[in-house]
Amino acid sequence: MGDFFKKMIEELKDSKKLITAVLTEIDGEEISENLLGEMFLFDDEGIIEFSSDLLEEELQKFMLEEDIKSQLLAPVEAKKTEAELKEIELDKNNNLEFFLEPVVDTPRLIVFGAGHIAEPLVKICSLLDFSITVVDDREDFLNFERFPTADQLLALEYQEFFANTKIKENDYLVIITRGHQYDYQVLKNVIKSKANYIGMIGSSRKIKKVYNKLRQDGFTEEDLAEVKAPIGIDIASETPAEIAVAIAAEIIARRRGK
Amino acid sequence: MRKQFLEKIIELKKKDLKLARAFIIKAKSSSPRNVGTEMLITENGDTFGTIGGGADEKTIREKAVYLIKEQRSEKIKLSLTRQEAADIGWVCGGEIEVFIQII
Repeated sequence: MGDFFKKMIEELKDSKKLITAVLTEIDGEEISENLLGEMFLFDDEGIIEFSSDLLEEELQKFMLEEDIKSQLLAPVEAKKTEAELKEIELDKNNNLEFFLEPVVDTPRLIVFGAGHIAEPLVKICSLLDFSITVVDDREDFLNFERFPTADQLLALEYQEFFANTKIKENDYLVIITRGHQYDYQVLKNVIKSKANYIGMIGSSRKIKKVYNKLRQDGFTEEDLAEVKAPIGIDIASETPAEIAVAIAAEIIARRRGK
Repeated sequence: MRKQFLEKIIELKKKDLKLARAFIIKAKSSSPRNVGTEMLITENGDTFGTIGGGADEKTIREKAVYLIKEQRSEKIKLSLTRQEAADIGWVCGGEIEVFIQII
C-alpha cells in the first residue's frame, strides 16, 4: 500500500480537495473478506487511485463509475470537511461500508508581529492544532524562549516574507504588528488572498485609517468586509492574554464554520 | 486523514516497518470531532499520535500488533461507561468503533 500513500502526497501538491474511502465492513458472501481495509482516493471528478486492483474489479463488477459517483461523491460534496461512514448497496445481498474522510493539511496560523499579544496567542493556539509561524522584522523579539511552541520564527521584513510565501486556503492570519503602517502593509498583501481568516488589531480610528488607505489603493468594501477588525470576539478583554483568548475564540469559530 | 500522518507513514514505510493505522469511525453520545482521530502503530508496538490515551488505547495497540502479524484489518468496538471514560480522561465516552487498518 506504500505506493498508494505516495500517490496521495503527489495529488496533494496541487492542493486539490481529496477524500479517502476505506472499506470498513463487508456484508455479503460474494466479496472477499481480504478486501477489508483496502481503500481508494477520489475528488470531485471521480476516483483517482485504488489501493488494490481487486477492490477496483469488485466495485466495477457491481456498479458503473456513474453509480459510484452518485452514491459516494454527491453526499460528500455537500460537506467536505467532516468524516463519515457511508453504506453502499451493491445489490440486494451485498453491502459495503466505507469510511470517507478528507485529507487535510494542518491549518497554519501566521502571526504578523511578535509583540506582547503574540506571546500568549501562540501559546493558546498551539493547543488548537495549528502549525504556527511568527513573522517580525525585529530579530530581538523572535526567539524560542518567548515562543516555545511556535513551529517557525521568521525574522523578515514583511515584504520579504510575501515575496517568498504563498498564502493558502488553510491559512489563518493575525495582524498585530507594532504600528498601523505595518498593519497596512501586511493587510494590503493578504486582503485578496484565499486565507480562511484575516484579523487585524486596532482601535476603530486606526482601522479607519488603514481602510481608507486601502480604498485609495482600489480595494472594495467587499474586500474589506473579509477582515475581522477589531480582531477577536467581544469578551471585554483587557490584558494581552485576554485579548489572545478573544482572538483564539474567533479563529475557532471560523474554523468550525460558525 | 492528516497530511502529517501521510508523511509519517511514508517515512516509516521507507524503513520497511509493517504498520497499522487505527482510527475512530463512530462515536456514540459524543462530539463528532472524535471521528477520524487516528494513530499509527508499528509492528514493534511503537505508536504515533493518540486516539484518547488510557486503557483502551493500550487495547488497541495490542490488537493492532496482533493484526499486523496476521496481516488482517478489523473493526473493533469498545464501550466505556461514563465513569471509565472520565477516569482515563477520554473525551468521548460511550461506545466507539475503531477500525484497525493494515497499511
